[in-house]
Amino acid sequence: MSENISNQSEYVLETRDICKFYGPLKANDHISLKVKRNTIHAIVGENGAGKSTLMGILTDTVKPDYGDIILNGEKVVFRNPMDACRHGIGMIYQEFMLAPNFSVFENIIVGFEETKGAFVDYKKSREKVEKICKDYNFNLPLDEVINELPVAMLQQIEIVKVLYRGADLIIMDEPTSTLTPQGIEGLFQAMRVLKAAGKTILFITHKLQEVFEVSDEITVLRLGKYVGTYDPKDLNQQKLANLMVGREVILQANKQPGEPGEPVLSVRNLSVYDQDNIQRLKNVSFDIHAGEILGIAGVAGSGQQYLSKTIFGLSKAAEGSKIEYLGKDITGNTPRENRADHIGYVPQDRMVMGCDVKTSIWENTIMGYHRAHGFKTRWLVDHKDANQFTEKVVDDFAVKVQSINSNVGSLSGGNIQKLIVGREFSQDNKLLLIEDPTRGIDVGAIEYIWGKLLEFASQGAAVLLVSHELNEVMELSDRIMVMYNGELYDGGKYGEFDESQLGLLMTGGVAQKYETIE
Amino acid sequence: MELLRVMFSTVTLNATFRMSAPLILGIAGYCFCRKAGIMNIALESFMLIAAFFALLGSYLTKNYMIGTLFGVIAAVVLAALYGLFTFHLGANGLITGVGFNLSGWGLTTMLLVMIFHTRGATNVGAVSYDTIDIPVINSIPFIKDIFNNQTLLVWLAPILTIIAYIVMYKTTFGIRIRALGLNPEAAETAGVSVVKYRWIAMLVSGATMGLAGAFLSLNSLAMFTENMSGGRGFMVMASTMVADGNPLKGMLFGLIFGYCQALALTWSSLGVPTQFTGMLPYLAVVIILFITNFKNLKKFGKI
Amino acid sequence: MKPLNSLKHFLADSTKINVARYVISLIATLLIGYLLIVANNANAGVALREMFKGAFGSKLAIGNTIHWAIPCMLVGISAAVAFKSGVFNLGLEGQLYFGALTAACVGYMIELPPVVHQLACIFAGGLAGLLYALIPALLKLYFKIDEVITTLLLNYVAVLATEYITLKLMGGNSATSQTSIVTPFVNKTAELTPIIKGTSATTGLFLALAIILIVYLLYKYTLVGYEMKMVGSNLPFSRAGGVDSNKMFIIIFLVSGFIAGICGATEVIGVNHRFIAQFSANLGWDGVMITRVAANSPVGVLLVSFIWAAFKTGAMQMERATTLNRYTMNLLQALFVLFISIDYGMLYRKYKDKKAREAIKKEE
Repeated sequence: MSENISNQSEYVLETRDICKFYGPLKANDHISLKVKRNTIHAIVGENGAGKSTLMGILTDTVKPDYGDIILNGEKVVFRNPMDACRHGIGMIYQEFMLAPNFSVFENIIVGFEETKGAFVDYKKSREKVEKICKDYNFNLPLDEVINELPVAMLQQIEIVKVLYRGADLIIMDEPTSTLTPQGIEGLFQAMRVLKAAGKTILFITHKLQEVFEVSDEITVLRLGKYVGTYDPKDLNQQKLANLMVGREVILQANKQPGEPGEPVLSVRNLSVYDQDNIQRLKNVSFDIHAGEILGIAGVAGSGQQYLSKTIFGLSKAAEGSKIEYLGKDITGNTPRENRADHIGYVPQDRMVMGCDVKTSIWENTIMGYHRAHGFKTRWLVDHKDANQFTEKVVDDFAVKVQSINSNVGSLSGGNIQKLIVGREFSQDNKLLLIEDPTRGIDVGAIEYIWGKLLEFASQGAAVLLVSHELNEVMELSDRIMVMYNGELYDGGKYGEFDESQLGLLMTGGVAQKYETIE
Repeated sequence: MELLRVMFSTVTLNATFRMSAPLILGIAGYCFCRKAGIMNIALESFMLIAAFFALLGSYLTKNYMIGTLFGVIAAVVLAALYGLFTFHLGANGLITGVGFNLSGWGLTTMLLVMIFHTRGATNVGAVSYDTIDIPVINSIPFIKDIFNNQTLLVWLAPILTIIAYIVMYKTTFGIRIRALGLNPEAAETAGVSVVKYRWIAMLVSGATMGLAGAFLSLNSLAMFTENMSGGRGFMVMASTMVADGNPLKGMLFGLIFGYCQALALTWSSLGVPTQFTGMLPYLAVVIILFITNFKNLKKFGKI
Repeated sequence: MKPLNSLKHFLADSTKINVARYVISLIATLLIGYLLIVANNANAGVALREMFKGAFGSKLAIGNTIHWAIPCMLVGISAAVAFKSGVFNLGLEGQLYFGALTAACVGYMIELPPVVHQLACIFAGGLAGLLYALIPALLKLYFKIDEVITTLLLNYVAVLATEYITLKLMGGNSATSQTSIVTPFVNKTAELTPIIKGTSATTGLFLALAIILIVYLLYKYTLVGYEMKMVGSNLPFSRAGGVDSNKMFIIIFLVSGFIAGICGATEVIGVNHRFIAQFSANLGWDGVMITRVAANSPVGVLLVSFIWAAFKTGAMQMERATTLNRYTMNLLQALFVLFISIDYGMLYRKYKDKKAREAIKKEE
């Protein structure tokens, strides 16, 4: 027995030079890391650091371009996700992989049923599930349909599911993102129980407090590269935040902070529930003034996308919320009404919501304009007007096009983004809701759009800038707020807080909750 | 008054049992497609073409079993083609469905004229199913008028439904196919190959639609007429939709629509215009869809 | 980054792929057609020649082709309006029946001066089609009942209901045999004038052309048309741009039903001069096929409708002159639509991706 254990290597998992490239984007760039057996190992990093890709490779939902996976000292090549599962790797996704309308029990066993011929051996499967629940101290209502169960319960189901499949190495992707504080405490308890039972846990997160609370080791990834593995005792939150977000600043916007004017948008007690009835925004209140850029920083999934969507009328605000625009209550207004009121919107997902690749450039450019401004008559498309407007956008924003009649799909990503931004900037909108205006485009285009954005605000418009690039928020905003877990925190005026202070806020470091001064 | 009286007469009930058989047969297989998240309006053509080939098989071999086999094989081949188009060639399911239905109509009428030189083949010498005289049942009054002397496929319908139910809720195949329809991504991560199970569901539904088609042409008269499936494929689809893929519930709706058809038959014999009675089953489907979806009114306008 | 690149590839190649789509489909269909001809012991050359003769060989033949092109154009453009915007109105057949019956009633019940009477019939037919389309549209909007299944079933209801109403109008009972269920002839004032003597090529042609032109102009010059097009092309984008998608859905459904109703009306006042029960041999479905082949473009519908009509008339002549029957043509048309609906672009991209992956593997 003892010999058996000594035969096993100290590390349960090792990756060697794992690479995964998506075109020019290096999602994983020679990542080599080691995970000690029977530990809770945290993997931290910003959005786009390569965490998800790496986990995809470990569970074989993503095929690596290069590199080896060493499991228990032996090199393995997975043939399919099932194969990874048989090797004892179990994954718990951020979005739970559960079938609605199925009972808890059915969800746990599906795909791995104990069988009697072609039939499911419900009795034997059930005994196995019950034993796991008992051994690991989970109390699950096995026969209830999962639809109405609380999120924390769903997560326990996922844990039991991977245990049922015989996982030794359990990967948890952002497991706390949808949990309440009590739920998180329960999860940590469960993690400790699992560890005591000899399992190894890979815990992916960007919330630093949690990292220090449960992990034995911390690996930091940054921009697809491996930064290092650390002992939590050698670090504090500040140091870790620096390791995560620290980077050279390539671009500078040369912002001249101006004096904000009258309030344009006042949001009071805005709450939003998503379709699963999870609260995504929690009583958010703020003002934006004319000529001001308000930047919202935050890690992905903190609720920021609900902010602009709800103000624009694409999501429904909860009872009691109030959105006021130029002294007028616009809560619950449709996008069409908001367009007519000169509110512009640049959505994050530019290929789906921002444009239509199958139609021409001019048809894309007048979208929104045709309602906000209208042409000579309410009924006809004024082609002369449409062409003039399109030409103006194309010229002003240096969009490289062959003809305004060619399809948007023929443009490069940067040009598409310039076109979308240009469309919204050129409509004398008084309020602009803008999400990630420069995601995934080249440096030249970023600089150009930044310049235009500052120019636009200086002409007296109010801008709500939601961005996942901290650098962008810091360079452009007159005022910064940080969204964390559906709540807003004060991030200071332009230049007031530095990168590491904001990084701390974004990852749930202690801070003053933002209150509007009435 | 006479109209009300025949509503529960043995003649009507006997016809209900018979008329609902093709629907129930189809539902028993299509349930798996429904659970796997496949919508297939080409069912109509599966049934029509199977009906034709069943007649052809029976005509050529003078054996209704081989005829049935012809029908089933034809429908399974069609199902495979449909699967190929929609799963692998990226064709839109609706357009493909319309294409299949029209091809089915074109193919059967073409072959009908080519082989039988007519647009409605009756008495061509094909053999139809034998009726079954069941010892105990044939002596019980009332019951015997409804259930005795029905054909094999009429009895096969409830049997297949029960088998489908057991497969759906008791076997690994069933639990997996239900899981993948509810959340394909979750099923894939649980190691269930979505494409594989969809293929199986597709072929199974083809096979039972084949039986349903064979029933149409080979029950009682052994005949085939242009467009003889007459929307039964769509009824199978609607019943399964309302039953949400539960074979037993599906059978219930199959019986309801079969009853409407039977009633249409008995009412017409009493002088009610066939045009009016003929609408009943179709209207029944629309009304049942309306009733079962009435609750959605509350959700109107929610984003 | 990767999806962007492949998208660019795709669009650069999109014209080539579209050409390939039609060429491949045509070759595949011709191949199957050839096999069918051989199976029938017929001569392919003769069959083709007879078809051409039947469709264009004489003044009469051209007249017949135009006669069929009229309903094809109307029902085709009706389907195009719906499908271009992602509304799956498969109930064209039913809307067409109600349009036809209503037009017949207006035609024989009311006395009106010539041109006004024709227009009244056409408008009434359109309105009937519109109202019949309203049922599935409302069921979808308020109760979320899939319009596909309701329209499919309502087609059967429409065929039987119009037949029943006709029966009642005749004062008849169930004893009347099916083929003779007809309304009285419409008044002469309601009949459309033939443009080629001895055929049913009527002034309905100008109506059909006008409607195609209107739809074309609708998409090109009006805001409603612009929004209709954008809703079909990218719904989330249109919503973000301020388009009221529910309202558009109803408008599109009703316009489609209106045109289908007009199609039924022109068949009545232009061809049969009365309503005949079960007169339409899958005409509504021709519309779906035509718009698919025409890729939902109005100009395309115009062209494809004439080809479709030529097939219809040509097939009759082919049947008379050879051992082939005209249903062969129906089969081939449907097969052509099936081949067209394959996503060649996707297959091509898959093939390219595969090659690219192999290249990367070699490099490493």
